[in-house]
Amino acid sequence: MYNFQTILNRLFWLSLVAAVVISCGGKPAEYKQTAGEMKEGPGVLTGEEGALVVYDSKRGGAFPQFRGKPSEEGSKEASEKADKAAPAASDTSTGSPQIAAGQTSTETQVTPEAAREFQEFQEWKKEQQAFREFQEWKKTSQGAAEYKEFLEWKEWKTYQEWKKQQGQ
Amino acid sequence: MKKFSQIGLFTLTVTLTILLILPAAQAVDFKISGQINRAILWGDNGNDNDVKFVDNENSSTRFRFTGSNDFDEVWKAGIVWEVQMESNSSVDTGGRNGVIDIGDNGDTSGVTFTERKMEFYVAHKNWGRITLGQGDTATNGTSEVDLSGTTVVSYASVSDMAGGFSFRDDDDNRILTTGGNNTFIANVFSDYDGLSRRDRIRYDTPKFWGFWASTSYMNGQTYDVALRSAHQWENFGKLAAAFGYVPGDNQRDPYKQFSGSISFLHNSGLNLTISHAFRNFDSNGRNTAHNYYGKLGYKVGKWAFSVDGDRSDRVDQNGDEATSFGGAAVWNVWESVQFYGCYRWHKLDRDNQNPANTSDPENISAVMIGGRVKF
Repeated sequence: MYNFQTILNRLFWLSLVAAVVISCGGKPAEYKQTAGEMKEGPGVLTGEEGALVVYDSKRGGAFPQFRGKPSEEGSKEASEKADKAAPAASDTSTGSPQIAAGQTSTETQVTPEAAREFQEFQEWKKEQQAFREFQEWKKTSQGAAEYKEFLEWKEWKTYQEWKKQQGQ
Repeated sequence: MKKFSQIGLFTLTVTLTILLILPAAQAVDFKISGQINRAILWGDNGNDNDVKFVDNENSSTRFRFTGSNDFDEVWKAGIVWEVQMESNSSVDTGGRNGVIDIGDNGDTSGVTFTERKMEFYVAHKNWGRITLGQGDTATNGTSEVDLSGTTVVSYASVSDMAGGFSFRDDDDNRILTTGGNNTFIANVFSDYDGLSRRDRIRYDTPKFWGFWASTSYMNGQTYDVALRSAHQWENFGKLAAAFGYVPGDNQRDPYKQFSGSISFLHNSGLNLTISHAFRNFDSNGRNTAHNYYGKLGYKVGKWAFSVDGDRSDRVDQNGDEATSFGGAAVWNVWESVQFYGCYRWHKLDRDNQNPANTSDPENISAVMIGGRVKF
């Protein structure tokens, strides 16, 4: 005669076997233990990395996160700026000059989503260009301070362009 | 057993040899990380209630150092050094009367600084990983697979939240264990999660189609084995499971133990977790102890909710039946910060009271509200 506990035991172990069998139909996935373990993900002081990187040879040696990589908050701020800028751009009669140039009269009615998407694409292109320039610069082995100054100058230039657009 | 010792020594020698003869490191990293997890814990033992300021044992305050070297794109060697630093652990049962028990008014004297992991590992892309030192045994975590997102305050080890509260009868007499100490929540609930963390040598296989196995061997000529899996379906959800076995029956672990857990997370956010473990005692007079745990949860945006139930039988002594129900909410306010709250109810039915003049234990209710910040 089975008691309730025996039934529960058998049900559980059957479920475990079933889970393993069913798993064969799925794609392998990542699983990290969370119960009792340390929190995964970013840290309040260490940003997206989630750890103070004392040394990482792949990223240029000691304390790579302090070498001008934009923080998570910085990235979010940038995307928020883009969000704010996109509706503003779509409100103006001319819209973004790049959009207007490549589109027909019917296509010029750009939705805010499309404008934002396009702006993100432009930003991505700029980042790619900046990365290429960085690779070029790396070959010339200039000082880190000079490159930081160069980035700041680029940021300033972008800001000037954005400000100019807002004024139109 | 001598054979196992020889195998362990051989593996260690091979590991060290590999470390010495490998070519220079191709990539090196060294990182420091940690978290602080503090909470306010309210409890009512049926006679009295109290508020405590505790370190949440579900995921204690700690910091760690990690480092690794990559060699030839297939080898990797690394270290993990993780220590726990708690003041007023929510599961503190130190001394006869505990420290954070309802009615106690002090704090722990001095901070408790305990080891978690001090280990190094050598891993190969195709051959798996060998780890030596203090750390997770192969079976650690096999009862605790959980995809609910509320493990910071609620998971199969239900006693982690308020384990330092003791049971009393309706006249406020302390319910004593057979050893004469207070019976704390932590004494009567256990998810029998493998062999926890120990000084050991451990081997993990590489992953084969989402499955991987582990085994570890440690002091006391004891060893354990575990099998884990994790799979997902793009338009359906994710499933993770684990199974662990401790053959035991030796001086250090005089029992056999099985543990397993399954957790499924649907793409909608609904999730279900079940866990079961039992310990078959080798000693005369002890009946097999069981633990059953079930949890239903829902994840939406930055929030995760869950309700769960647990039943632990004969953990402290024959004739014990401990039951717990809880409800938890976790708010991941930012990626590095989360706030949580949990209500949990505990009941103990004990056949053999010690001392005999105490009556049935009163139920214990507890509420924990706190936050975990990763730095």
